[in-house]
Amino acid sequence: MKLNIIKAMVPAVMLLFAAGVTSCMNDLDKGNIDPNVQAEPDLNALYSKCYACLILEGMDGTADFTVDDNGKSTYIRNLFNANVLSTDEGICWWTDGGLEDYGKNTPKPNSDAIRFLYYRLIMDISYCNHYLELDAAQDDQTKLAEVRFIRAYLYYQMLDLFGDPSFIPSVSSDMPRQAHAYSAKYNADQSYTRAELLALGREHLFGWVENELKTAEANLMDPQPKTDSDPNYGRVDKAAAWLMLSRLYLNAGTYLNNDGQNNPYWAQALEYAEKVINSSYSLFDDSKMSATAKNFGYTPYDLLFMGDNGSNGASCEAIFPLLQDGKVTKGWGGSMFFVAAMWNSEMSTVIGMDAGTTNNSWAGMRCRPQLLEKFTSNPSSYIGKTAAEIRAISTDDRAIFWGADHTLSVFPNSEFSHGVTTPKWNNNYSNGGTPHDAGDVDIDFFLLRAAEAYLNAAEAALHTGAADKAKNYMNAIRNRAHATTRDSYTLDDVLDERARELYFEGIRRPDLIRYNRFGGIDVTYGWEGKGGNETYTGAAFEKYLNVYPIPSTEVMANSNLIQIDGYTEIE
Amino acid sequence: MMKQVNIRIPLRMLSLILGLFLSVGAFAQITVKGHVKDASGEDIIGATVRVAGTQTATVTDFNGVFTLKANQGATITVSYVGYQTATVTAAPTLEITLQDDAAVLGDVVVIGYGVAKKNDLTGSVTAIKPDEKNHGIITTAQDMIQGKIAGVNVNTTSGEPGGSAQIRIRGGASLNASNSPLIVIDGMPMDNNNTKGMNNPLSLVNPNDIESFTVLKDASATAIYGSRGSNGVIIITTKKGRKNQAPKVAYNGTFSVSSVMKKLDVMDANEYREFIKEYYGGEESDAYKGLGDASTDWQDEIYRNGISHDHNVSVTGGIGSQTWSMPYRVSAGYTNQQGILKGSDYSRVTAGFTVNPSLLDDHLNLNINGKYAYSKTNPGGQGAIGNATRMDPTRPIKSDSEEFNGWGGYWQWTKPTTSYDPTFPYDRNSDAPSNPVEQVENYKFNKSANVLLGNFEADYKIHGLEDIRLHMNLAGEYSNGGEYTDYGPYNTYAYYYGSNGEDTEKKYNLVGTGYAQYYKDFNKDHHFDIMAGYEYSRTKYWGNNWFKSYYPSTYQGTDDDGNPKAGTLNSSSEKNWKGQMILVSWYGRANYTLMDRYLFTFTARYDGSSRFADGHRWGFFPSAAAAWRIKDEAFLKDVEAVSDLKLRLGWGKTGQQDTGKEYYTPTYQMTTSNDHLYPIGEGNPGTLFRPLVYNNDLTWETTTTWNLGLDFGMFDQRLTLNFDAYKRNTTDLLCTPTIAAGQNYDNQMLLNAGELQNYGIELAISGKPIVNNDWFVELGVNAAYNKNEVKELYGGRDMIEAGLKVGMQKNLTYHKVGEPANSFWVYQQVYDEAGRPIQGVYVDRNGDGNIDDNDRYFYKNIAAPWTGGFYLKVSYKNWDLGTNFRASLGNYVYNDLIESRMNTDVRYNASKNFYENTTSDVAALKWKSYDYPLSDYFVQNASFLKCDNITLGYNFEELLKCASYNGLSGRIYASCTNVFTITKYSGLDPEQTSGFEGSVYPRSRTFLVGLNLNF
Repeated sequence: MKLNIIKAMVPAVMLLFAAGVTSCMNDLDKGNIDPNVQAEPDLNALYSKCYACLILEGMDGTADFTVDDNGKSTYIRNLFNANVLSTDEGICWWTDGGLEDYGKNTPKPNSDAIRFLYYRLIMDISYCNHYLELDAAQDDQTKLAEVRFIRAYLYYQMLDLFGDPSFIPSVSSDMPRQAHAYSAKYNADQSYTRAELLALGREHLFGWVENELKTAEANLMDPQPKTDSDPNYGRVDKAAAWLMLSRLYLNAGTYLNNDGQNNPYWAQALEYAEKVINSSYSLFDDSKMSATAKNFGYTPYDLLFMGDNGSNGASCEAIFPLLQDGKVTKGWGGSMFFVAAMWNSEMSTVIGMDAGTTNNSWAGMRCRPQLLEKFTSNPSSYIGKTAAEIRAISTDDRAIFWGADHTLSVFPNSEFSHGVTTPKWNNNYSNGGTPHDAGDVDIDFFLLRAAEAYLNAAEAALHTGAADKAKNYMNAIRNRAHATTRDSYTLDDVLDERARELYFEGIRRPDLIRYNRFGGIDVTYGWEGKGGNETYTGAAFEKYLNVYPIPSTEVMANSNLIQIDGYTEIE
Repeated sequence: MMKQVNIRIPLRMLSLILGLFLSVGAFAQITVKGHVKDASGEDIIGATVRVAGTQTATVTDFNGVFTLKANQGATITVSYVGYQTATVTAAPTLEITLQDDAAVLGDVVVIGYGVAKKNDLTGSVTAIKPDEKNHGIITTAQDMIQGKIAGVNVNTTSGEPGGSAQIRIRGGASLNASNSPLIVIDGMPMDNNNTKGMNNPLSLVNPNDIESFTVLKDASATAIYGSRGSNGVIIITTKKGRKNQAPKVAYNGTFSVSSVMKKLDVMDANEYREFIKEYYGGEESDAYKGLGDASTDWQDEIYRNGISHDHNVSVTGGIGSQTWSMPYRVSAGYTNQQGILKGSDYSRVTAGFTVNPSLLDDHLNLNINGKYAYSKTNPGGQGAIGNATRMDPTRPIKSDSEEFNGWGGYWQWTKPTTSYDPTFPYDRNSDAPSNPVEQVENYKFNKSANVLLGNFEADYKIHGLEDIRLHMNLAGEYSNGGEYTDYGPYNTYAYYYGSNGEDTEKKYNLVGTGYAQYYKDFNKDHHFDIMAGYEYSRTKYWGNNWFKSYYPSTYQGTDDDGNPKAGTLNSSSEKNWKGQMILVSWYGRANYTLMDRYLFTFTARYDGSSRFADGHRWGFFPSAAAAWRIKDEAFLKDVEAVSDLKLRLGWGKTGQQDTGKEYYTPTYQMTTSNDHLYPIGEGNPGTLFRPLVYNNDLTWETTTTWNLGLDFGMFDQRLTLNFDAYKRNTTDLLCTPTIAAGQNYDNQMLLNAGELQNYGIELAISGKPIVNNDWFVELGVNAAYNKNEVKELYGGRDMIEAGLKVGMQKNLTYHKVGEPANSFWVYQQVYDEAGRPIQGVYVDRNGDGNIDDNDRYFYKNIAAPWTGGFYLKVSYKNWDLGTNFRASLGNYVYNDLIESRMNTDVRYNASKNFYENTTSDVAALKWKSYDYPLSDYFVQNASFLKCDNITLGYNFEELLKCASYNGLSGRIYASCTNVFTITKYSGLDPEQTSGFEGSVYPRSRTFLVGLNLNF
């Protein structure tokens, strides 16, 4: 290289350099280039997410929030834990994650299970809020109403489970405040006891959920049951809003007066339940069942919880089915949980089949004897019997239990064989077909079923003096199960019928609270292990335990929050 | 001050030329013929040999040989840059060994964007050369600095062959962002994120090619790296050829055997039988009757002695003439390391070249080098490590029963199933431990990566304006790696369906930097040296993964239309991803020296990062430092005993931006698999979008550092002492705390939160008490103390989760204001009279009658406040002996080996039909639950003193010498790595970077023999 060439090159290089620098600055704005992360919203995909978050753990099998086991993040699994394990229905022996606390009625702010439940609800609410505020989403008022319904449903559960949780009616990065702070009666300058704040929060949420359900209802599709070959299968319609309004009104005493029986809304509970009953949704009974299924020895009730429940006719009852499919919609904490957690590899169905899935031996959940008492005056008669044998001696199709090699008592609560369990859910096809996958299940989860409307109506009718109506609705339910019918029913009968019809479906705790048979030092109704007392009828516990505490991680993270009345605050 | 000093090679050439000149004037007395070599036996070419008090001098030739004439008994000095000057008495033949000395004051060290004389440094900079003799097994570069530098902690994360290491300089500055130092290889700042297929970004450099490490510790040294300087910087320089040197061929090789150091003391088959009998109700119990009749030590079955070997060849030389020269070095290496877990191994091929042409009368100096590495890792079925300690010892390894056909005859916990087909009547009981031998034997997963690294560096002194230098460096890294699985149906990993898949990633990293430097001496008392530059750096990565599994040919099911599914695809997924990071920077440095003893350095860097949103993107990182060379003051100048005394003071700000990804924009994650869809409504395929958490206020984390240093040397640097004290404050900490639910789209979010303070001291002393013709003794000790305290947290919060979770996802460690980061927040265990912990019984610390979170207390933390190292080297004639020790005091580890076995009640799990082993000690505690993991019982003092290696070597030369050949020189040595550990910790290994000991790949003890040959 000649010297002068180099000398000439210096300014040239400098110039190039300067030009390069300018363009490099612009590179800083290039932002995300990952094809799996999109900057623009996809309306269909966000709409799907609002539904999927009720049964899937998250995206591609990973959880939507930080959790040790993705499956533990799913909504219906957490709902089951909170509303079944704390009651006369069931118990779990697993020592991890705070399930023991549920079982002993000693929920703690630092319990993992409560944390997962709370985060799941808030995450799902956030997804709904996000969808509802998208400009593009405003074009389809029906879908908008569906998402609005889902959000109202989620806040209903917040109200029921926590009473006074964070209230996030819209997308905001502000530190969320609790429901009580939104109450019209709340004055920030005034000081309140925690009990008063809980009451304010519940009252606010009650009104808000009521209004949201009614607003959503106007734009929802007309009631129409579907099967899984219909693309709109899984979408909610007006019947879902009616059923949730009926449930809200039925429990209004709990939410407004902290006394389930002191309820000014019985009439409305009846009104909305009857709307469902009179709609095109109906109970799935013998008349709707295929001959093949009958020949296998199934009853209509069995088909509600099987792998082909989206196509075998049972979905005429499914007001809000959550989708599961071994090939398309897999998940660890959805319907899979309801099989695996209640099964081990020794068990078989009422017709002697295995669970129809290889992921079937988590072997955790068992029934407390009080659930069996709802079916038989002698629960011990189930001991040593298979599901098929219990079916043979039972006068009610819904007695789907497994007692072989199991004891009646759930104690010591250290293994699966202590306490009878239920193979109610299984992944077999009622027509003998092959499930889509050997492991993942095809069972759709009927989050809202028409049967509940009959039970809500019966109860509300008894409170409003319409005993005849109550009798008809009760008999409809019992007829479907081939149980004997009666001419009259008491309120206690309705509560027991709810156990028989809806056991292990995640709705027991509010029923007991409404009947004042859950928390309360003077409550006489008991069950084995109630309040952590390992006797047959347990021991009463305090009424503040009727709502769960806000997780301590959340109280630490959000300085606006005040712990629910009765629970210890972290200092 | 950092006066313009060229790198060593030109200086060496200068001395060669100078020497040739001088030799002309020599006159005859006796003829002295000598040979000069360095401590490793390598010839020193171009060393200046001078007869004291005369003009007679020469330089050594290409073989390190010189000849000159001198008076009988005259004193001859031999000097060469970077070595201590040797003084000998003239004799007809002389053998002179120059002692390499990194502490020589005039030595040149590589610093950020330049070089400096050690004597001129104002910041806290430690430069070391790899110790060629005193070392154990070395696979990657980090093995060479472990325990060697005060305040630099290097810990391998496990014993996996080719595994990664955690490097911390002064404890790291961040909570959640990376705490790893920036690593710069030959001017190329490396991307800290792993390349797929490679465990460790450092493994691309063959350790045998490394010339030196420079560790920049304080802000005045690292601020020139701006936003990446907070955690310190390690600059690695690779070896180069020498000017006009005849080709030299060298070989280094080792052969080693590794073995497991310690196994978990679980019950053997007889002990286990006794335990089951006693605990579960005697010989008639179901539990006892269900036991097997074999006797298997599962840990023995999965470990082996690992055989490893390592070979390296290099050719070094230089070609050229009077006006130009081109030193070169070419090297190749091969490593094959067998792990102690059966089936695990690591192999690596490396190749590299360097040429350093000097052109235009030394005005244009180029440095061109390229490195290539291919590595392949078989991690081994590491799940077997935990299972070998859990698996029932009464079961056989294999069985002929058809029950186990699905796993190739390996015994498993099974359950009957009808869900597959009649060929597979059993499924594995997924809750039970897998057969560890099966896990090891049937493991079919490996990873491999190719990495290319190259740079082109040009340094031009402008003709006619020699005070100005233009420097540019274009460097690039390209890597291509992947992870591969291939399973048939007969194993636990892909039972029944079998599966295959690939997960591959490509990455490039380009850095272009250029600076101009101007230096001027205005008069005797004022020296200036100023530089300014610009840098552009871009990392782009993209990858693909796919997975497929098939219905076996024996599958009997049909699809919904009745077609048989045998042999068809069961499930599959495919995913592509892409990402990039861009960093644009301006930087500059000014040095000013007053009266040759007052030194001032100012640096600044202005960085823009694509990781942050506009408006939060740019950060300014200045530093200032001063040093006072007290030794050069009149009152000390003539004190012979003191050879160095310098006081340093520095201040600076550095940043941190390694958040792992683009973070600020609101985006949506989309589903990529085809089986987690939610198809609902007309024409909706069911893809899901999830709004992702985002923070467009995110910005730089900033660390402000004060550093006070003292360098002291006595007796011609035979005794040296370096002391540093520092205080570091990090603000706007990048941190991922739990945020209020509903505030964003996750319960955790990366944000700038609070303030962290570190302060500490470092001390390094080294001495050479004996140096004579036969004996050489050197020893050194370094120690560092670092105290870390969280000063403030996000949103005025008192504490946030620090990330370590135990039991079932229970948060164990927290960052709490007033406590060290990563402190354990635990319950205080209550013990019975025999000193055994009582299950679930804790001290009611607040005395309110309840045990809840308010009774938890802060007890210790993960990081060790005190760390240090010690080395000793002794050589006598041809023999040398060396050892290195490393200590860590006050670090605590959560012993999960115990905790994960606490529930003695389920050793026989009747509900789920299997047995699990445990240790007798844990079983004796008789806990019946896993639900008490937050007890301080499991948090144990894991202070340790480790003897890293002991090495004995013998040096030889002139082997096979004949008339035309000088002979071979070299060294043969034997070494033991991981010699012993002294600790009170009750787990297997107290050195756990995460503060948690689970079932990790154990570190091995290695015996090694090595051979170095110079041809």
